[in-house]
Order: sequence, then C-alpha cells, then structure tokens
Amino acid sequence: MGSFFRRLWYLLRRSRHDAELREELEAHRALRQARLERDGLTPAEAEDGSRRALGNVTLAREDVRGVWIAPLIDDFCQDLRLSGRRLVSRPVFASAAILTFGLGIGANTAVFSVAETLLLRQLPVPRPDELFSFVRVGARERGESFSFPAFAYVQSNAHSLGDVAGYATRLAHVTANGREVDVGVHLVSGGYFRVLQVAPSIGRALDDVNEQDAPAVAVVSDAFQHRYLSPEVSAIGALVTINDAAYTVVGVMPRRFEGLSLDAPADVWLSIRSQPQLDGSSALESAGSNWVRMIARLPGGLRHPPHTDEGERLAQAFKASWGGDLDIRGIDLVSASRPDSGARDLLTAPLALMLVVVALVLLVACINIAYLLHARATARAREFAIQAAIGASRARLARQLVTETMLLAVIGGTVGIAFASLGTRGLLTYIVNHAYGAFQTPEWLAMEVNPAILVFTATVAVLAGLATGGVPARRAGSADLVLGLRSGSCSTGDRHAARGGHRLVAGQLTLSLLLVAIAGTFIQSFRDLRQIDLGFRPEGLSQFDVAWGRPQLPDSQLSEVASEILEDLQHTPGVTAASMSVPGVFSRSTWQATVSLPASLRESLLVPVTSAAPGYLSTLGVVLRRGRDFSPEDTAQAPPVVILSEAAARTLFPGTDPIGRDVRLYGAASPVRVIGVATDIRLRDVLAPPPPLVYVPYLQGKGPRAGSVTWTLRSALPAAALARQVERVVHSKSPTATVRVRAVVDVVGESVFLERTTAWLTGLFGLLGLGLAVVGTYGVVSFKAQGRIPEVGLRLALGATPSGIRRQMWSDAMKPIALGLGIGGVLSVGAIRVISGYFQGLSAAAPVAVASALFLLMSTAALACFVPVLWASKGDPASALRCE
Amino acid sequence: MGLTNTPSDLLPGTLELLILKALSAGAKHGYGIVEHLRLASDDILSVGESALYPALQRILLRGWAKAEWGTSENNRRARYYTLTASGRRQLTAERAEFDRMVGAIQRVLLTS
Repeated sequence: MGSFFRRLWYLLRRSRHDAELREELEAHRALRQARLERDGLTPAEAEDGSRRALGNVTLAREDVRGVWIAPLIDDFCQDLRLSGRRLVSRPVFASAAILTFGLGIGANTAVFSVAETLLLRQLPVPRPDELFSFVRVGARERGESFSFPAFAYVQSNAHSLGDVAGYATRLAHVTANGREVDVGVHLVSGGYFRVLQVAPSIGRALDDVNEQDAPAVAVVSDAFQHRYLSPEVSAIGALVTINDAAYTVVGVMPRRFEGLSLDAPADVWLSIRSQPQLDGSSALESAGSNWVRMIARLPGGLRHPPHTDEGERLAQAFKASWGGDLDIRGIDLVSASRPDSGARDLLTAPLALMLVVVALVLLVACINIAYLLHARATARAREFAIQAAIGASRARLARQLVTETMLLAVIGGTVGIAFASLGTRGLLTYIVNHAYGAFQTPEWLAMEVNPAILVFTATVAVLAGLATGGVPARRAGSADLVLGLRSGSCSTGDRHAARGGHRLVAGQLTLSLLLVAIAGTFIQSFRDLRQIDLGFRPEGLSQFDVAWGRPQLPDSQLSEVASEILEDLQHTPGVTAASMSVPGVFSRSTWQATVSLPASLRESLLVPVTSAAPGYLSTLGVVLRRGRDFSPEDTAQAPPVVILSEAAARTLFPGTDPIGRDVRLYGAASPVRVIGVATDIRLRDVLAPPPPLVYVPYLQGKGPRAGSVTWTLRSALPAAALARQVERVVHSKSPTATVRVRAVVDVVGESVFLERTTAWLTGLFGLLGLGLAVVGTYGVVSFKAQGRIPEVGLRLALGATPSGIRRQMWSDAMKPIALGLGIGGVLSVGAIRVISGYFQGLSAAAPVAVASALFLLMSTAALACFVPVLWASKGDPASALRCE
Repeated sequence: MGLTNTPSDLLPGTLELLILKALSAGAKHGYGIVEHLRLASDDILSVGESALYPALQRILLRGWAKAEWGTSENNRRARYYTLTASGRRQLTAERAEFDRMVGAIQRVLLTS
C-alpha cells in the first residue's frame, strides 16, 4: 500500500518531479563532461561527447514516468474493466442501481441548480462583488426605494461612495414592428451602465448626456431584439412605441444582461427622465414618493462598505435642504452582487429544506444499493476467497469493489444530470412564475450545466459511490479466507455479515423515518392551512379584472364603464350577487392608507385600504358586526364615510363603539365618519393573522385608483359558463378589452403556492424514501432468512419447533428495526423542531405526522419481516441439510 | 559491451541489485553509481542513463532508497541516493537469490 501512496504523491507533484529529473540528468552530463576534459578533450568536444553518451533524454524521462504512473493506470483500467464486466453480467442489478443512483443524484442536482440559480448566482456584470445598493432607513420603515430628489441629491453629494446610479422597474405596453406586447421597462439614470460596467453589444448605451436632454431614446435587450425587432435590419434606429410615446433604439445590450431585478427583468431601458411620459404623471419633483432604487460601485474595488456616517450625513443634509417632513433618517449599504429580488428571502428556507430532503433520499438510496452489494459480497465470499488465494491483496479487493460502486455512481450521476436538466427548467419556470410573479422568465436564469453544478454533481456522485462501496469493501477486506473457500454457497452464517446487515437496516429506517416524518409534517400543515377560516366564504366566489385595450380611457370614464358593467352583471341570470372593489381579495397589489384619530395625527396606522362598491362585503360573505354597509347614496357629494375591520376598530377605539366617530384618512384635515365594523378577513395572506383594514366607498373616489377595479361575483354557474357571461357583458362596453375570470378558491390557493409546492415535493420525496425503505428492509430480512435455511434445517432436525424458530428469527429481525425507528423518532422530533423555526404553522402538525410516520414504517417493516420469516421456518429440514 | 540502454541484457532485477550494492558503500549520485560500477567491473559494466534513471525510480518507488539534493564535486546541485533499511534487507535477499541463480546456471553450463 506504501507504494500506492507514493504513486499518488508523485501524481500530485508530477511537474516538479519531472523538473528535478531533468536537473539530475544535466548534473550527470556535466560530471561526465568534466571527466572527459580531464581525459584531455577540449571543452567543446567534451560537451559533445557527454551529450552523445547521455543518449535519448526524453525516452529516459518517459520511462521514469512509466515507472510511476503506468501500474496505477493499469490497475485502474483493470478494475474498471472487471467492474464493467461484472455489471454487464448482472444487467438487472446494474440497471436498478444506476436508476436508483440516477434518481437520487438527479434530485440533488435539480434542487441544487434551482438554489444556485435563484439564491447564489451573481449579476452578469464585471466584478459584481463591488456593487452595493442603498437602503432608506426611516422612522417607520426601511425601504429600498428613494424619491427622485433624494436620489439626485445623493448622486451629486456622495463623493466617498463613488459613482451612484438610480433605476426603477416598470411593466409597459410596447409596440414594435407592428406587434404589441407588455414587457419590463427599466428607467435608468445616466450613470447606470457606467456603474455596472456593461457595454452594449451593438450601438451605444444611455449616459449622462441622454439623461440631461431626455431625448426619446431606448436601449433594448438582446432577447427583445430577437423577439420583436426585425432580424434582417439593424436594431439601431428602429422605432418602438412605449405607453403611447415613441422612442428610437440606440443600442442593444449583450445577451443575459437584463437589468438588476430578478423579479422583473428588463427588455427596454429608458432614461429616468422619461418617467413622466411612461407613467402619465411626473414623479420627478416629489420628495414624498419613493420609487428610485440606488446602486453604487464603491471606489477602489472595496468589497465591504466603509464604516462611515456618510449615509446618515447625506440623509440629514438632504432632509435639511428639502425642508419637509420626510421619513428618511439614514442610508445603509447592502451588497448587490446578486440581482435584487423580493422573493429570494421567501425561497431560501424552502430550498434549503429541499436540499436536506433530497440528500436524505440519496442516502437512503445509497444504503439500498450498499445492501444489495453487501448481500452480493456475502454471496461472493467464495469468489473473493479464490481471488485472495491466488494472490490478490485485500486492499486490492476492496479497491475493486469501490471501483464497482464508483462506476455505478458515475453512470448514475450522468443519468442524474439528464434527469435534472429535464426537471430543473420546469421547476424554475414554475417557481419564477408563481413566487416571483414575474411576467416572464429571465433569460439568464436559464438552466445550464455550469461548472458549479458539475462540481456539485461530481462530488455527490463520488461521495455516494464511496459511501455505498465502503460497507461491502470493508467486508471483502476482512473476509475469512479459509471459511470462504470451504463453505461454498451454503453458509451457516457469518457474524460479520449479520452485523453489517443489521447496521444497514437500522440506518435505513432511521433516515426513512426522518424523511417520512418531515414530509408528513409539511403535508399535514398544508392540510391545516386549507381549514383556516379566511373570514369570508371563498366557495362559489369568482373575481375578474379587465385589461382595457389601447388607447386607455381616462379614470372618470373608466369608473363609469365599470359601474355599467357591474349593473349588467347584477342582472345576469345565475349571478347571485356582484360587486366591485379596488383591490380584490388576495390581489398581488395592495394600497395602504394612514388612519388616525382626529386628535392625535402623530399616532397613525398604516393599513391596507379597499375601495368597495355597495354590496361588496355581503358578496364576499363578510359579516357586518355593527353599523351599515355603503349605500348608493355614499357618493362624492355625500359626507365621507369609512368601514373598519374589527382589528382596526379595536386598535383605534379600544373598548368603545366606533360607530358615528370620526377618523382621519391619508393625513387629510377633513374627518371621515365610521359607519360600520366588519369581521376580520385575511386579505392576502392565509398564514398571517388578519390585519387591520379599512374600507372606503368606491363611489366617493377617495381610495385606490379606479382604473384597476376587480369585480367579485357569487354564482352557482360553472366556471366556463360564468366566464362566457362575463365576457359578453364586458365586450358590450369595450370590445377590445381582455377579461380573465378566476375562482377565488384558486386565487387563494395560488397565494399558498410555496407551502403547497413544499408539501408536494417533500411528500413526493418522502414517498420515494418510504418505497426504498420497504424494498430495502424486505430485501435484507428475506436475504438473511434465506441464508439461515441450513441452520433452521439443522435446528428442526434436532427437534426445535417451527414456532420457536419463528419467534427467534422474528426477534432477530425486529431488533435493528426497533433500533432504527427509535433513533429516527428522536432525530425527527429534533429536526422538525429546528425546521419549525423557518416555516409557519409546522409545530401543530408535527406530533401527528411523526406518530403516523412511525406507525407507517413500523408496520411496513414488520410486514416485510413477516413473509420471509414464515417462509424460512417452513423449510424442509431434509433439503436444507442436503446442501451443507 | 555490458549494460546498455536495454536492461533485459541482464537477468531481470540485476541492475537494481548492482545499484543497491553500489549504494551500500554510502550515498552516491547517479553519475557516481555509473562510475562505481565501471571501476568495480574493470570497465566492463557501462550503464546508460536511460536504463539507470528508471531503475533508480523503481528503487525509490519501492522505498529501498531515498533521494536528497546535495552538492557534487564540481559544485553543482546533484541528487544523492541513500539506502534505506528496507533497501539493505532487499540487497541481502537479492544477493542470496542471485548467488543461487548464478550457481544454478553454472551447474547447467558445466553439465556436459
């Protein structure tokens, strides 16, 4: 074995070794030259002669290399050939093992690539580590957006923070080449591309000159160019219409660069000064509306923000220069090497959990294969004994077994990468579309077999191979030669083998129980989720909104059309109740309002506000605890009124009746009368307790914008029929509009997509683990029972009763099962306690889940034991003894 | 003439045996071993470098000798080989084996 390590050592420092040999040969030649000179030759002749005598140096070096490496490669090739032959000769075993490895490694690769892509991948710009984004620190909240004046101030005054750039993301309606499409548009300041150090692949980028003049120019993404601009003509100079304003394309960004937002990738970049044209109203002058995100590349390539009070100084100076009441106290810097994303925090825990779960699945799979090999190694004891007898060293035998599993694992890993690349793309698209709410999958998120993933998969495959091969290899290494040669195929059992098998069974049940318990907990908690009372009745409820065609109607006209649609819906047969609101329940967007008592303006609440038409609350199934609903008389001319949720009423008017009292909304001077108190509802989050809410009358027009109305219907009609009715009504008012009707149950379901996906995936993997555990346990027990047939025969012949033998075999088989389940139970409780810290609502589900998992595995394992034990004890003593 | 670049001129393992013997007197570099063999065999054994160095590497690989860099007579860096304990054991064993072999060959040749 010593020479094996010396060889490895040589391999590691091969080039150094080669250089030393060259030097040694040169020294040799010099010595010979010196002797030839002493013999009377001229130095030139001596050098010539010494070189001739040295002969072919390259050949000598080749030979030396051969001494060290050839046997290593030779052994390896031999092991590999032998392993290959063995696997080919056992195609069923080989394909089962490769498939098991493939599924296990593939699941690991898939989850890892999703995690790598969403959580770890950096921005495709030079040196992303140097990028930092700014966080606004206010008295009430921390925010990532700043007002435009704040950005302009910081940009021109933040000298020690280097070059500062600003950007904002929008979804806009674009017409290009006669096609209409909604794409991501990023508004960027002049320094944006300079700070990021991204150069356009064609044309030019936007710079400070563009920002000042604010000409109508645009830069487009590579994907946009290929999709929507004519491929024959150069994109430069093409005209695109964005929200009714025309822009000239001046540059195309390189492939993969799609801005700094993962949730809303950019297809078009416009100057930040184009904001008024894009949004329809200017936000450039207001210090109260925060919409610009800031990013900087620290000077001198710093990787950590300097500890200065620069942020605080800037914030205070800006506040002083502006002179208003602004909620900004300081500015923090956070790393922006990865794209900004609101969903990353949401996904970290589920993805980490999935990584653990798939690792467990792979371990269970490894144990299964290890057991198959272990069983074969036991059966192959004779083969090993012969090999050892004709001179194979034990190390060599063990190495050969490990090579065999490595080969299986590597082939399995290759299969796994194929599985993973099939699964990852779908998984990514699903996650991005649901969790991120992104309207398109970012181009650079494309799954690719990149070095990180390859290294991960290779490591997993090698570890799996080593872990799997280790057990049978140790067994082969310690095999008793004489016993192996003598006993042949009918062994009376070998203590080593039995103990190895026991450990494998115990380990497998431990891991399977852990897996099934975790899966069960998630499934149980997801089922609990569906029982949660939302505060309204989602069954039979549908909602829809309308995308009006272009040109867009002004808000006043829209509100008129919306009311007309509502009126028609209320008279549609099959519709029990209909109303409208901004926003609907479980909408992606929320509107917030500050609410306070007239006396204490300082202590205001920031709560979600819904603008509701008369009958909205009763359509939802929300009960009014006190007071009345909005009526058609609550118009802009009538005195302003508001309905509070119970939680809001409790907070604002603790212990008193709020009906008839006044509150102030949006900090306005005029009071608003409270006319009702509604039961609490979960507005957008199933898991969180119901938040305090306020409802304002839609007809008074004080609340959220009328342009984004959601209609809510209660109807017994089937979804398709209802959708047809709704479309007919809407198209009679606006033929170009598009309508999307959805059951509220589905909308609520989508809001818990992450919980659902986690439950589904863990459930799936739990099932896989359970299946593997059953197959494995059954295999182990039945194999052991089979191995004991001669022993049982002997005992029967000597007068033991079948029931006595059954009892003994039963207790032998159950011992490792009980041990494994015991350890697994303790581990599961601990693991679920740790996991509960990262997921809501798990702890309630855990006890039931662990208990059911325990019961499930115990009964399956018992069943797996029962059949083989019964079968073995019924053996015919004569035939059992004959094979001895 | 004696040993050249093909070690198969000798009985297998003989070159290693000769090198081990050369080293048993003390540490030597490659050229020193060649010179030692040449002088000790009255100019009959002349070992080529392309046979010597692979043989030295085989000896290193098996752990019979270890190599260290030192300074040669003409003030150059040269690699000196020293016999290890297992090398000494190997030398004794191989000598006995070689004697047995040569004796056997002798007897075969002497049998008429």
